[in-house]
Amino acid sequence: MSNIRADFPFLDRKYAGKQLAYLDNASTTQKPGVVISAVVDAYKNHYANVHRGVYGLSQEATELYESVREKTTKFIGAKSSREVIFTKNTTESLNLLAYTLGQRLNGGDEILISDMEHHSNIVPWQMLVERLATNGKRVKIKYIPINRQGELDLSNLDKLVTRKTKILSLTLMSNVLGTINPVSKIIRVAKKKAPALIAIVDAAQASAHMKIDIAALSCDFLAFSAHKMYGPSGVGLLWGKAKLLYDLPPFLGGGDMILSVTREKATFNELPWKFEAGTPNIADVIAFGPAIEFVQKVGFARISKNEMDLTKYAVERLAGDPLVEIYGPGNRGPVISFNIDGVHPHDVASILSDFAVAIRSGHHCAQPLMDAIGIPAACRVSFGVYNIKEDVDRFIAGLRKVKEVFKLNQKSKIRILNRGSSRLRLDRNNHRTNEMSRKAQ
Amino acid sequence: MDLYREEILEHWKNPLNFGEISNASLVIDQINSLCGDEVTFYFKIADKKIRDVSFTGNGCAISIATSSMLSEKIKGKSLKVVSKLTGQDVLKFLGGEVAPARLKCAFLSLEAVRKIGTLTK
Repeated sequence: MSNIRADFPFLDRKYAGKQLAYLDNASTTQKPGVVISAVVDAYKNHYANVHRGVYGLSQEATELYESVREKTTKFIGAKSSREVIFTKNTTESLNLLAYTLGQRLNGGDEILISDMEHHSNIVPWQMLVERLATNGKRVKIKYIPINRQGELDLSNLDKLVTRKTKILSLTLMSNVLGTINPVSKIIRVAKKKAPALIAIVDAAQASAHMKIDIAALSCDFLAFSAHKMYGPSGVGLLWGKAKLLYDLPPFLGGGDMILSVTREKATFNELPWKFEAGTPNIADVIAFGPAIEFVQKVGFARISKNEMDLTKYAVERLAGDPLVEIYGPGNRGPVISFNIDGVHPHDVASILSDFAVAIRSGHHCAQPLMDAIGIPAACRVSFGVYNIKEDVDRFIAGLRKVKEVFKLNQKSKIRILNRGSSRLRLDRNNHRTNEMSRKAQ
Repeated sequence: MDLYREEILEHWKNPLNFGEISNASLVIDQINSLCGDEVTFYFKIADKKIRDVSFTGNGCAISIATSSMLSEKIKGKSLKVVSKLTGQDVLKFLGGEVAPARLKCAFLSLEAVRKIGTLTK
């Protein structure tokens, strides 16, 4: 992997005399030099607004911007670039869908998601339900539960999907457990029972690790982000079937999303620009092009081999430690969540940070999943194309330090973190919603 | 690392005033937005004084240790004195350097205690 590491300038910087062992790739990835220089080049040499100027520079910027749409189209196997919309992130893509699809829902309709979703695939639907409720429409969100292996429990899928299920929105890979979900199978089963159902795939976590093929997924919409696959932050993607996008109302109104505007009314632009109101993130979209090329050049076979070798190695090292509890499935991507018995994840991450090892700690924007597992928080390591075995070794050495600091080798029994937590209890009683409570005197 | 000195670890391992007191006159839940961790403080307040205080919760060593130390500091104090406690005071008794990312953990209990004023008016 040595030549790949040379592509990433973040490794030139030293922390406490060491290269950073960056193990938070599920959150965001570092950028290769080609992406960084593409941002600079876009601003230096090709910057003007897109779709507007008739002068040469604006046309140049427009061509570069649109060429990345073409690249993205091919990257996911879409039929036409009209179906590919630039947003600012997966969150915005999913909000766009909740907002626009939501206008078609009726009272009694159901939305089906899962206990494994990122907040970005939960909260927009909850907000939609609230909006519809103020119009007297009662729409329900249902959750596919998880089983003890940290996989979606599909044994009751038949009952969860009803003829009233209008939207199914699922993550392809869990950002916490790394679980790769059998999304295409679920969609096929669900559509048999509810043919009018719209199937959405959240590919934010998956897109850097496995080939995305929208035909194989048999979905209607797919959302992902550039920044999780070595591209710039501030660029999200939404793919949708042209026929569906054509029928949907716009999301945001403003410049570039219209054909004409009178005092009374606007005629909306063609696809995909109908959904791209205002000046977009031009330079970062342009720099997403080299990110796609980078991923394609390395290839998913090599990316996956490196990441999964490291995942297997790290799981083996962790599993040998009786104080470590690993959450999640056999069929996982390069993401491992775990806890050290009795030590809070924030304390683990703080101490590892002192050894230039970057891991994530907390609820990972997936509190319903944390509740389902029965833990308040977890540590998470996640791998990228530039990670090496030494990163794992330094991470494991850091964990030894954590245990030293907390004197865990002395069998100290800690009661606080373990208070009332039973593993993988399927209990969604959310006791964290009351910001404040007051008892009567 | 300096933060995890012996005194802090002792408070984390054996927190003072941990548990629920019966007949609390005021209960305040406080959530750490960074991680969703939660502490609950129980107070017995009479004559504008904190007669008794305890807490429960899930949290990191920093938040548990500060809750423990803070509960000890405010026990028996008047509400007026307690209302004047600042983040600087908390950092002073914590002793070590707290990274910006961990300030929320260090101030979780203080945020809870600061609500006493609004809730007892």
